[in-house]
Amino acid sequence: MSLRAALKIVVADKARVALALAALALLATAAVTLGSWTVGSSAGNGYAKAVTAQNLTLGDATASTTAQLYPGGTGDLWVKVTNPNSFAVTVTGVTGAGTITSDKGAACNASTGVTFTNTSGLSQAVGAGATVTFSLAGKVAMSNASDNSCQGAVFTVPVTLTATS
Amino acid sequence: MFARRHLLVLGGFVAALAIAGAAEASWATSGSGAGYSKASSLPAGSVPSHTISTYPNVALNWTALSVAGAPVSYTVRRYSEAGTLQSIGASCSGSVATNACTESAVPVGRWQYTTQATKGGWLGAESAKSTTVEVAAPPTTLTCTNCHTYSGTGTVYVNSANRTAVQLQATLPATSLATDTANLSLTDSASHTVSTSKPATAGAGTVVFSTLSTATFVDGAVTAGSYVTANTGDLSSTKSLALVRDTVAPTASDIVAANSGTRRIIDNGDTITYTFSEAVDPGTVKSGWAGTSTAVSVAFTNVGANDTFVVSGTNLGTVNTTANYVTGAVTCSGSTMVASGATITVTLGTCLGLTRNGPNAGDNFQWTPTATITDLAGNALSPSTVTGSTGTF
Repeated sequence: MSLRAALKIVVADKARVALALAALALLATAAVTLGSWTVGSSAGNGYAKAVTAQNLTLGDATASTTAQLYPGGTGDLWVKVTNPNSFAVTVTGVTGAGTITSDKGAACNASTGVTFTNTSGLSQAVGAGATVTFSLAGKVAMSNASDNSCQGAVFTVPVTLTATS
Repeated sequence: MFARRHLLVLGGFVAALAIAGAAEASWATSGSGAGYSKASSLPAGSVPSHTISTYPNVALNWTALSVAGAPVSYTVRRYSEAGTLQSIGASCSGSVATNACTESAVPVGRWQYTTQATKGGWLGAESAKSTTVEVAAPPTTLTCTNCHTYSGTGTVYVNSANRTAVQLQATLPATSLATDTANLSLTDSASHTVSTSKPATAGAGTVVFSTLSTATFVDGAVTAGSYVTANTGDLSSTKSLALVRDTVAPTASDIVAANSGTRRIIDNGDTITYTFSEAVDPGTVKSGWAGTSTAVSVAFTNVGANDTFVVSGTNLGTVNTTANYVTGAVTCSGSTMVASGATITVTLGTCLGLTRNGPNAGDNFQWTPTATITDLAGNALSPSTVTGSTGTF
């Protein structure tokens, strides 16, 4: 083998090695990003399958609340959200989704005087598999219709969260 | 050729990456559950303090309260000492926005107050009851039982006879309590004051304050005031009585005759003017007389060179004319008498009897009044003789 032929072989191997490394790096990046992407083992063919995004779950955030509401006043809504997905999400909106109740019983529940203001445009990040507690300042209001038995009550405000990954 | 093939491969990877990125941005999810919010609660009311600002209005104030930093309103209640809820009066009724109010026209009695914070439909715990405030009724009447009242004006006088032992009597109403104290004070125009206190009666009754000395007072207006003090320290309003202190006895200062008919002759229209150092009580000059013109009779008696006369039916006393006007008894009937200020003027009517000419130069009567006459304050006239200025009938 002449020196020229030998040099061609070396240059050709380096190019192949470079291409191979680039392909591996791309596949690795895609796998990390999407998680569920898989790479086929057959030469020349690749296959990918997206996971189904799971709903966020909401937990008990009463421990975070502070006594703020009074007739004619406003307070914060506290939300404890868990992201069961393997990818991070951003909560973008919270919408009221039912009757607000209290831990004070029927008299208070009959006239809580409490309302929630739907909120959009949020950017509350929740990491993959993470649980985050956050508040919506001043989004809960109490009217003068609040029953006397509602003093000191913890109100449960049914909500629906919207989020994007 | 080799480079072109590898560029195509790299372009394919870049396209794949772009497709993967677009897929990631489109993920959306949601979740349902509950958020939580907590209500505050109203603090318990604070016990109000009280004063009787202007009888019978009770001024209340208490510590301001808030809920979550917001001010609250208040409900104020009044109870009897026995614990019976009362209807609270104006200014403190309904929702009170500030931490003070004054209940107007509070009824006589012993009361306790509470406050309660309110906010919308919320009610805080009612405070404990305040200490007792007593709205005590003042005496219904106050009289001086040994003062002199001049019937002409109704003025009540402290005079020389009672100035060191004035006695007043306060009448207390049925609401009077044995735990109350009745008070009395006398104050003159120079702010001299004497005061005293006695236990009030249980129920209606009278309290007599005796031997109050005004020895250090100056003559003039004196105010007597009686009020009730409760054992809570609260005061009733004051029942007042206006008095006038006059301890100076009047004196006779002048007497003079003036001709109206024939000079030097006692005849119809002639006048006799009695002057005192101050106005006298007409009723002490002639019983039942108020000072307006009244019919009298003037009787002259022949006493040689010192003929005298009296105004019959009066206490003016005997006057020595120091002259010889009559030679026998002369009676001037149909005469009249009128008082004005410190003078009493007698105008002769028809005079019957033996008269003669009086002195040319006139004469100076000598008048000795009786001590029956008093001034308006009841001070007796000094009965010393006074020589009048020159005049003649």
